[in-house]
Amino acid sequence: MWEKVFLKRLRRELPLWVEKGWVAPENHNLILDDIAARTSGTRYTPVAFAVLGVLLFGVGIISFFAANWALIPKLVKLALLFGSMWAAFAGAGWLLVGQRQINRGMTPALQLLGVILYGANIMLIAQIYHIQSHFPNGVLLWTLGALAVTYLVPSQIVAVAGLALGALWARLDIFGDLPTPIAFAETVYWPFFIVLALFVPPIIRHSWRIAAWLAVLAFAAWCAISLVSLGIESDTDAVHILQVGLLFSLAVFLLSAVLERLDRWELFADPLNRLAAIFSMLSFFGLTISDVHGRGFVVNAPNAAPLEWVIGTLLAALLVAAMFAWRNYITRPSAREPYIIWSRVLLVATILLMLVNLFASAIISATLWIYLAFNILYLGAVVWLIYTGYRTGDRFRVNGGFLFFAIGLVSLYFDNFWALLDRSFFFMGAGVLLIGGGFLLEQQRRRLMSSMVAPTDPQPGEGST
Amino acid sequence: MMRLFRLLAAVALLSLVLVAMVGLKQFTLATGATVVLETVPIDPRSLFRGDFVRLNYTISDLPLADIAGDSDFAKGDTVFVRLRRGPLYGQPISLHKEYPPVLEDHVVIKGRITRNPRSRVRIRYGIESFFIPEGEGLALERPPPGSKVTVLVAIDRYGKSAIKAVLVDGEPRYSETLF
Repeated sequence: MWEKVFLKRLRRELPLWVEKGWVAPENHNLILDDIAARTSGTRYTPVAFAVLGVLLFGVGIISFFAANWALIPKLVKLALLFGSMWAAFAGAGWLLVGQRQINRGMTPALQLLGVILYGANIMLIAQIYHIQSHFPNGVLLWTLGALAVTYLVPSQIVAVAGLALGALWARLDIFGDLPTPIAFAETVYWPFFIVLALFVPPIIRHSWRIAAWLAVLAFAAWCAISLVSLGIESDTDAVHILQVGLLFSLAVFLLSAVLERLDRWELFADPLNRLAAIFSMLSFFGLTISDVHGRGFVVNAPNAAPLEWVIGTLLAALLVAAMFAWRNYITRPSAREPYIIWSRVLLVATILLMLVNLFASAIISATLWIYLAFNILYLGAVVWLIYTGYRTGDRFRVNGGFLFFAIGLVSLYFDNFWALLDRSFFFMGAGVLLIGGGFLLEQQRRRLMSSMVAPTDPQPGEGST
Repeated sequence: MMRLFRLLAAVALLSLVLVAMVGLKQFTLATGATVVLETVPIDPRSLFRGDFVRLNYTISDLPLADIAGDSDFAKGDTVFVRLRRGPLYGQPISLHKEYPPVLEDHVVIKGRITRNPRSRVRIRYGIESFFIPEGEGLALERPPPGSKVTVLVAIDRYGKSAIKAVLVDGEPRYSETLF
């Protein structure tokens, strides 16, 4: 998909480059033909069809077994379970040995079928022998099987399946069975982090981009759940959790700029950058809400942070500083661009404000200024996001910036006018704000997007984050 | 060719896990001493695992004051319950943290404590569910008045247990065979 986007953009840009004399006119079509030959929709199509076919076939086999399960003797059941799994892997092996033409999509698809049947076998053997165990352990065993296959016979689709199974296992282990009330684990769930980390080496080795995205998504979810779990466990106020969340997200955001320059880790840079940007802005937005500072419905100022959260916040701030230094050392960003200077000012101001808040949160008179300062810095972060997005041609940042601006505006309205205006005026005002503000924002966003002709990639040695 | 060897290694590894699952249960069923346990069947269904009966045993909930052996337990501890084979059902004699010496006509079953014990201790033995053909769950969940559901359990030398048969009024309704 990304190649198609690249080709589309190239088609748009090449005439301009020819006009400016950067590309010889006779090379225009040669470049497009070459890229088109290398980037075709056929790369993923056979794999996608093969995987869909395999899934349907797998469902069919399992349904057949299920329909006739009671009638089948135990030994035949075992032969069917083992035989079907071996058959799937034998098919993959047959294609591998002959290097047959159809193996491009079918080999990984058959490996996936083998892994699916392995999981079905775990569950069905547990059923045949009435094995009563902690249910998520079965899913963990399945995940580890997928991991083993990923290492021994590398295949992105199996790695993706393994990561999804790992997430399912963690989900079941942390939250329990679906009908039971949701309850977070009491502490950080390290086992999932270990399993996730085990998937990283093959992802890097084989440059699997889809698996990299999934791994980063799982990592982000794990970080968020861990942070909330720690907060619940220590009975900490939301403001302290949000501050650590923001600092950690900023550290990851800076780390992504470093990874961009590291050969094998580069494929993690984009997903980490985007998710860290989203989590940073969400945490920042949380810090702009008046209740968090004890100035809305919640009128009590937040309690002073427990010692472990003071230490955690300071460590997170040090981590941001370390990442900032590492990023500067690796990328040597140019100071000519104003947004680079703004980013430094914003970063330092945000950290300083958080440190002040950390030690002054119990002083009621200070909470108004801290609340206002967070709102001003949030606005600064939104403008910075839109501006850097515009300068670097990153539509994701521009769209994200406008979205967070709108969210911030609505939240500010609810925060400050709910108690001041009569309810009817309040809702009328909210309606006008949403209709008018939304129209104006969308107009500005479209204008900005249309003026973004092409991305301005950072110069060599110059970072954009 | 190297990839083929790796594929074979992967298949062997996955098969080994499945064989271990089968082998461990078969070992218990084949070598274990048997005892009948009194049950109270409850809550019959799970969407994910087909029809099964969830079994609750009288030895699943033991009063600490009435039972000999150790007494200092916490949630998650592994425990060993010594049972005397009674005329009808196995009777709990003592509760231990380590595998105790086995006396004549006694068996020792291994379990895990599921709640922090106060006056009673709640234990899970890994034989709390029994899969049955679809649609036949009600007969075991709600036996006719006067009928009694019991379970014949095999317990190996390590204390691990496996269901050998589900009995209704002493007669086998479902029996587990070797293969």
